[in-house]
Amino acid sequence: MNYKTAGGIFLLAIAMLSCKSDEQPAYTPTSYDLQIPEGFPEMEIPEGNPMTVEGIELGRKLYYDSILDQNQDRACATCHVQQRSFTSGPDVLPHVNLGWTYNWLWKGDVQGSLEDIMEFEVQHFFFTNLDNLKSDTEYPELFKKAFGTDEITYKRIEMALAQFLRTVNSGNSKFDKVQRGEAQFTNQENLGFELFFTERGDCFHCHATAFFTDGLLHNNALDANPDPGHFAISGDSLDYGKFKSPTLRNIEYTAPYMHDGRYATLEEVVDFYSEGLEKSPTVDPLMKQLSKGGVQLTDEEKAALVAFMKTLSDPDFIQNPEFSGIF
Amino acid sequence: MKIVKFFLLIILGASTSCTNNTVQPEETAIELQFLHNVNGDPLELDNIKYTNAVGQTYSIKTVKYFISRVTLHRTDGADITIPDIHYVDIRDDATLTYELSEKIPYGSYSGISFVYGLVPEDNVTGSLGLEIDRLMEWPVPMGGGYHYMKLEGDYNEAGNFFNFHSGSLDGVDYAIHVDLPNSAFDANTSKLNVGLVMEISNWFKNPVDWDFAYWGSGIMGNADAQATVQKNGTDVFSVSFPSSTL
Ligand code: HEC
Ligand code: HEC
Ligand SMILES: [Cu+2]
Repeated sequence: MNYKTAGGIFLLAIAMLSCKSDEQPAYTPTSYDLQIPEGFPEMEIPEGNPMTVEGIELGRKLYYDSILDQNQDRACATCHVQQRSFTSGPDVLPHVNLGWTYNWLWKGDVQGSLEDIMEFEVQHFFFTNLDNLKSDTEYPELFKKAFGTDEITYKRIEMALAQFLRTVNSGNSKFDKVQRGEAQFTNQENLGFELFFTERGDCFHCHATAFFTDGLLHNNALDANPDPGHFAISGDSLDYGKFKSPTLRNIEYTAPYMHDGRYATLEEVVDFYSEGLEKSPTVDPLMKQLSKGGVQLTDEEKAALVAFMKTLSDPDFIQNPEFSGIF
Repeated sequence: MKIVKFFLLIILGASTSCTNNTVQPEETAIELQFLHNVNGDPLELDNIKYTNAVGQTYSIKTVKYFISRVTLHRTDGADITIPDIHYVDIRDDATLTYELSEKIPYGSYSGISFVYGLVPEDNVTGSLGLEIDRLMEWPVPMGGGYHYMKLEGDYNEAGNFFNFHSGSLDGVDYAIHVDLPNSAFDANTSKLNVGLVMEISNWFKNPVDWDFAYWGSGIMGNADAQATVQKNGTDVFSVSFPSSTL
């Protein structure tokens, strides 16, 4: 009976398709085949915003265009600079593998999809004036190509930006090549890898998965009197001093480090984790050597950990012409 | 259009005949409720008020773990194993109750067993989805898969942390096959609530009195420690049937 039902549904589907063919064919943008780096999980793409060649192109153009800003004096790319893994300055978060992110901003202000954070960026940070786009000579046509209508809305701007950012993925670092058997770590990098992924160095609990972040909020013991962090959002005293664990992919390109940019180099970061931890009530118990001030690495181990983190650099990513502002 | 109607009829016919022919089966849904005690009382998080067998005081801050492969043993000898893997986080209420994905037929059952952690077949990096990977991943250089449990807290003083993390190390399976004592029951209602109690203090004794200082604050890479956790864990779980549902 199941078999019969399935067959019936199949024929029904065919019948419906053939019915449809009487109608005028609607315009459909070109669907885009997203290539996911080997070893990465599937990306969840919302049903309402399928990726298309025209949508991605529009998103990229918007990303590099100051027209989105209400005063038209900065673009996303003004602060999010490709050569620096889409960061700049002390506190800008990188744009890398954001299609797998759901917890946004240093303090975890926003939860949800890329579309949700784009709503924040466009409407509550850039205060985009839709009239500027509507009266532009190019954009109405580009929206028509991307969405089949030249009506420009916040939602469609956000959808296009999200589509573009879902292509901005980094998975071709030396680390990835070693995983794929195409390259080998040096002895020093290998020691750093061991330290990172065992409790000797103990970085993996928070900088976890293929993305080198668990996407969660932690107090990693930076200060005896920490900045409020997620407490500013939730009002829960247990959230005091909690910030999002940032990805370590392309970390070599994104100095300075931490939410306030307090460390200029990766060496300083490693010194901090080795012996610079400060006690405060909400420090994450995963910072398990807190009472000793840190994991107490030797100079050789510190250098190895830095060398390992530099294997997460993906030069193809920061040079990829498909992410650039040159069209 | 004719074709469409014809097949719609078949579908309708098939689905109605289906409901006509089947008698409502006598089945029980089982809802597990996860409870966490220390020395017999409900756990109070973030308070260094407990003392272990070697005299160290401790608190509990994190309790995250998997239970899997719940098996209901029928008195007639047939076992029903539910292939589910369930993740519990004491700070996430949504994970603290959980209905097994399959119902069981009415009848008399001699007991319940389950796996604490994951059997090797279930313990494959990436297989449980990104959300779980983020929370419970066990690094590939230590054998891969997932933590069975992250149990964390302070000992002796605030900020003096222990991470009692258990899992399979370098491919050695340290999961615990738990036969719950006194877990016989009769399935004769549409739903049965089963309390699954973790007595946290039992992780730290019987047979080995756990000394936080001796084992160190992190034990993931220590095969001796993992084997000891496995031994100590056999009497950690018990069952409670809330009287209202019997
Ligand atoms: C003036 C500099 C600046 C501009 C311009 C800017 N950003 Fe940002 N962006 C930041 C800073 C700083 C942060 C981190 C802020 C925080 O976490 O509170 C950030 C964070 C983000 C994040 C969160 C990343 C994460 O991992 O949580 C996204 C997404 C983002 N920006 C997208 C955009 C988009 C899209 C635009 C253009 C519409 C834009 N930004 C324009 C400075 C900027
Ligand atoms: C308890 C979770 C946790 C552990 C363990 C941890 N980190 Fe972090 N890491 C964080 C958080 C949270 C931040 C951001 C903190 C902030 O800015 O307030 C961070 C920031 C960083 C940064 C700066 C990133 C940037 O973009 O600014 C680097 C580099 C880093 N960690 C490396 C490491 C290394 C190396 C280890 C192991 C020695 C490690 N982390 C262990 C949670 C952790
Ligand atoms: Cu662990």
